[in-house]
Amino acid sequence: MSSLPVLDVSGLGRRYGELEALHDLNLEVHAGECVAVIGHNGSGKTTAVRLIAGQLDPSAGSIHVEGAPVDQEVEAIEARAALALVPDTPSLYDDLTVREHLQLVAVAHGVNEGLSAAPDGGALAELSAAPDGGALADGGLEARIEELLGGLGLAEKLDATPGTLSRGMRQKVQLACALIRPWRLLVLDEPVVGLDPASQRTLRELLLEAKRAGKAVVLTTHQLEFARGVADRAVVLSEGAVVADGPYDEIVDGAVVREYGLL
Amino acid sequence: MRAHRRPFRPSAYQVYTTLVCGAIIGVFVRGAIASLIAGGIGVHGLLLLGPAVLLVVVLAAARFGSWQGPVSFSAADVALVLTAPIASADLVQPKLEHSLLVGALVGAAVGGLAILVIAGGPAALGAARSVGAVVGLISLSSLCVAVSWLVQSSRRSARGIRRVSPVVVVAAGGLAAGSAVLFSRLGMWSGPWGWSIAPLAGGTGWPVALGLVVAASAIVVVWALRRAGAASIEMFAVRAGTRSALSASAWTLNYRGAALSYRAAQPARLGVGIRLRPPARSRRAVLWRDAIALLRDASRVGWATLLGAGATVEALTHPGRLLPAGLAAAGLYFAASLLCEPLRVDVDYPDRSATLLSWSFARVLLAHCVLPALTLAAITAGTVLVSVAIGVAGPAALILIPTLLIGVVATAVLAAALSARRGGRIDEALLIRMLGADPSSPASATLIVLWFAPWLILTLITLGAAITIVGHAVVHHRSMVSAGLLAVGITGAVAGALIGVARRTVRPD
Repeated sequence: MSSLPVLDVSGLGRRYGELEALHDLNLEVHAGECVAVIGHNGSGKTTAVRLIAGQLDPSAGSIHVEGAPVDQEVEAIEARAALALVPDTPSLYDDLTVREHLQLVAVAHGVNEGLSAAPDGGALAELSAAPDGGALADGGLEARIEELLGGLGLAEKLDATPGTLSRGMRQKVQLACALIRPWRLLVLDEPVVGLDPASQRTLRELLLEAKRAGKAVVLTTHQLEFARGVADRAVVLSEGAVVADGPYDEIVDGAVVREYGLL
Repeated sequence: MRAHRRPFRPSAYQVYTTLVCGAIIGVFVRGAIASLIAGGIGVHGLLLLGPAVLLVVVLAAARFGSWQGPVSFSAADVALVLTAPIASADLVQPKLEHSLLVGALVGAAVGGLAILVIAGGPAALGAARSVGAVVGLISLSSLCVAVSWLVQSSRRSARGIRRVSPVVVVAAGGLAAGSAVLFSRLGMWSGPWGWSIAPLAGGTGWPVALGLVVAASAIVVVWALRRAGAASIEMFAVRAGTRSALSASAWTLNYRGAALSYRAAQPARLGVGIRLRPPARSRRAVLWRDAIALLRDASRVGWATLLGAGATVEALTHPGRLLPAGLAAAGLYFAASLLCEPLRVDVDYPDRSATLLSWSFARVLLAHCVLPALTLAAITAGTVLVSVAIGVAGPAALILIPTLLIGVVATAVLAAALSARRGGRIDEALLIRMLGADPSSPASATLIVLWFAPWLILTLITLGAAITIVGHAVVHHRSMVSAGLLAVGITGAVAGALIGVARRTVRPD
């Protein structure tokens, strides 16, 4: 692991009026590491994810992605360029097809130009940009889109609009949108909700591949078994506060999880 | 259902308020009629504009059928009554007959009003033509209700009517122009919208025209009644939901919410067959996305063309006059606003563009302005060229294309985009303050207008002034160079300031 964490969260807090949704979250995630944030509904997981993605303003603390601050006021472009988010609720354009969503995300992130392609050229980079980090050749983007969607079981839905897809399929399109672009930190909020067992297995494989490629991953989940073998560390949140932080298997098999009724 | 209906017994207070309101409205209506008579809407005006206006009314009735229509059920009725083992025709037909009756009464009232306004009263028109005028408009309004139901009961018709709407509006304009230039009775013989006013217009053939509109109306009404059982429960359920959503949006002054509810009730209009090759450059990503959106909703471009072209013609044909200049500015603003819909979609869910594009919101907003600006510039320049070619405007108007056009279009599009950025719903704090005060007071009304329309007001002032200055120079043979420079300076400065504001915008909450 390098000394500079990919994600560095320090003293992070968020209040909604009187309610303290998140309090003093400290988190470092390094390259090649996966951290699972677990907790009940309302424990502050989604608030933490939205803060990390720059979609909410923190009431306290700071967030840095590869040293760049995540701040909604300055819109944190540098940090956003490195961070890919898969929100808990799919948010897609009604008038674009699945293929066009991926084309839009890829073009906007300069995949065709090689502007910010994955620097390491790892196995997962093949899914997100040209392997050499340069621009994709003509037709290369199309092939990559088809390959990625085929892997997620959406090969038949390339020209479908989101309105004609099930929730699980929309979730997979949202995941594909995150994976088609270059990224070094992937943040997934409840990624397995709505996914069938085969797609969950595919997602696990993708996350393991990402780790091997030296990427950092943060995910929130209720399904502790999904994250076993993927997540290196677990952070347990309860009522907005961290109640446990340590190696995943130790935490999940330990007393804390039973104490907070997470099993 | 009928057995359980409570008898209507108005309270003394209801009678009192109805009488007072009736008296007040009556005074206004009487005054309006008197001024219309004095204004002299004569037979010539009727022949010129009547058929075109009534054609648009028939179109409006048909479009109403595509999202609501004359037969409606509450959500409870849909869930409890329509799903019961009762033939739906038995439930629909009484409601349709009721709507036809209301339509006939409205037609009779309009007919009576038309006799007063256009002919100066039944005595001047004669008994036969007076009766004919009322019967003609009763027939047309019944036809409107029946057409509306036919569209409501058929998804295919609903899709079709939305597709042909811009063509019908252009045809209505063509009817008016044809009646003015070619043959004054062209509109009157063009269809039921013209036949229905034949008794008012007079001439030898009016009984024939009246017979035609009565026959056409009878055929369509019978056809509609025969289709009383043709509608689906899903259609009534969707429309009940739309009414609830529209009502909620209206009470909270959320016009974007109302627009989305209205749109959700429309038949699907996605032309997913249309594909565009994605660009190589990242800076063109939003332009490409907007092009797809506009191609898949071509009617939006059609309406924007009508508004933009109409505004340009208005400015060219009434130079130097303040009101036409204001109308032209408003037309350009609303055309730009129509073309800015993809930006509005991003404002509806601001996290979506943040997640998918990773761009700053200011960059997203400005990128969304490019295609509307190019499209509106093409519409406006094209209209100037055609106007010069057909002699509506002199060749001097061509100079507007390389000079004033850029500033005018940029101002209209940027103002519309900044308005879209606000999300189309009233600020909660302002709403609460208004609910605490008297919402109907002039102060509250002023607050609402200032809150909702600052960018429209800015556009009206800026473009209105620029158009008036240039027009004034044309009419009074003043120096075009100085007037043009002043107009370009005003629009350029405002457009520059708007770009500055746009560059500092942040993602909405």
